[in-house]
Amino acid sequence: MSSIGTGYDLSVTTFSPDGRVFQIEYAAKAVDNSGTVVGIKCKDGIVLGVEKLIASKMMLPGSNLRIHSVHRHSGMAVAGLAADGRQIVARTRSEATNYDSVYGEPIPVKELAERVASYVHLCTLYWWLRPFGCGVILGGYDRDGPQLYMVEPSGVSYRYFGAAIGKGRQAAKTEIEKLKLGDMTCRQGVIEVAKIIYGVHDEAKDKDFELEMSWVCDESNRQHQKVPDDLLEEAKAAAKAALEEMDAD
Amino acid sequence: MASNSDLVSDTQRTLYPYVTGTSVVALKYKDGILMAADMGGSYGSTLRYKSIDRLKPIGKHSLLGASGEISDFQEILHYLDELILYDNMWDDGNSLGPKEVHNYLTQVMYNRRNKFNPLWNALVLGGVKNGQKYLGMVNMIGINFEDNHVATGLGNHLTRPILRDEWHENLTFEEGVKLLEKCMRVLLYRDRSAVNKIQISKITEEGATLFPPYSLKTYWEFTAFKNPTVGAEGSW
Repeated sequence: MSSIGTGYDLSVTTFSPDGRVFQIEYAAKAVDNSGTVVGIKCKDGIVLGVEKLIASKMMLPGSNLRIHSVHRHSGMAVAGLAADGRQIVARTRSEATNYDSVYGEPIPVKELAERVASYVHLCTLYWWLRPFGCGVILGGYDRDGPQLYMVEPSGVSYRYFGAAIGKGRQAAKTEIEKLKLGDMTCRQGVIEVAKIIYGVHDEAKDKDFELEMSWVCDESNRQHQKVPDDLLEEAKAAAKAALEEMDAD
Repeated sequence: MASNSDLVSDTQRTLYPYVTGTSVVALKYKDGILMAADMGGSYGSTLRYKSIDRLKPIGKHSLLGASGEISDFQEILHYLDELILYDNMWDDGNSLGPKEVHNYLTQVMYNRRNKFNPLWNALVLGGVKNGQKYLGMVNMIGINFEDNHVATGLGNHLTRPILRDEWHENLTFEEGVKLLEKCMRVLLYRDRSAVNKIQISKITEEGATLFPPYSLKTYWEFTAFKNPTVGAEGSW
């Protein structure tokens, strides 16, 4: 669905004759070309997973984290331009601590998503700023239970049961729709997310990848944290086994 | 020449404390640090609040005890909360230890003092990280040091001598508590802002434990107290 903007795509403050802002669409392309990021809302919490494409064999595993804690009760996974993502995470953390200072309670996830969306949208309003080239999946656990939000470079944010961005998002979304999320605990969800990410990874086109996963659920005491090592290994093993089963068919 | 202190009007600067906590006493023992404080908050000479928590765990490795202005203590807890939160969000397996937290507090206290707007507290910071015990103190003018036993306020004058005589390396938990209770009892008898509801807390490699508050047994049958003016009629 790509079309050339010719002339109407030079500035984020210009509409095209058919009502599109091309700069924002181009920003979305940056997200579409990055490694897949998946988020699901299970019965008792949220699971986030990232297909972290490794640019060089020299990189240390566990570096260049794509999932960041934003406060004790929430975290966000970033897809797209990593440096842009850092900026969004910094701003989100600042919003969360500020809310806590003023109101004395952890920021509700809905409010946090609105602030992230607002900030991302801000950068699409002025010619001297460029839109963020990253999409964010934000998951948190507050008084209203676990919630999952996705924010796009246009500044649009919706609440989801399951969301995916990046290269393999179409295939990932199909897989997520097959899952019965309402009946799943996060422990089971972690295995499913690993299977999805291993499944959508394109061996031919892309290099090696590292699976990064986090959760915030009852089992983690409603704190956002990296999935414990033993569960992560279990998930990776299950994902690899599922892949082999598919190849064997 | 205008300085920061001229820019801040008197109504915005701490000039005197309002609700204050009295002494905190702490010592190193075999497994970590033991700290004790009573639960009183005085409003001048009135013992107005009797359930103030003056000992708080900070992060995984430290305990903070405060004497002085309670509202400034709450402000300090707020700063430390944010410090620990940001430390946790790095998610790198590292965590701030007692030495680091003490240093941070020293910076905060000294810088506020330089702006003539002090946080009116004397803080005791103790903790254990990777087997290393640490016990330090910092006060409102930024004086800070570490030692095997520390105390704030009247505790400095009444309990440090006891600790200098009776503290030794590798006190057991029971010995440490007994020593702390002896110190707190002296303070209860002699400090007018002390209240008989004390809290003891310990911090070891495993973490912090705050014990429930309790009262010290006191003895008022000393003959000297019975007829206090017998040697000097007319005095009180």
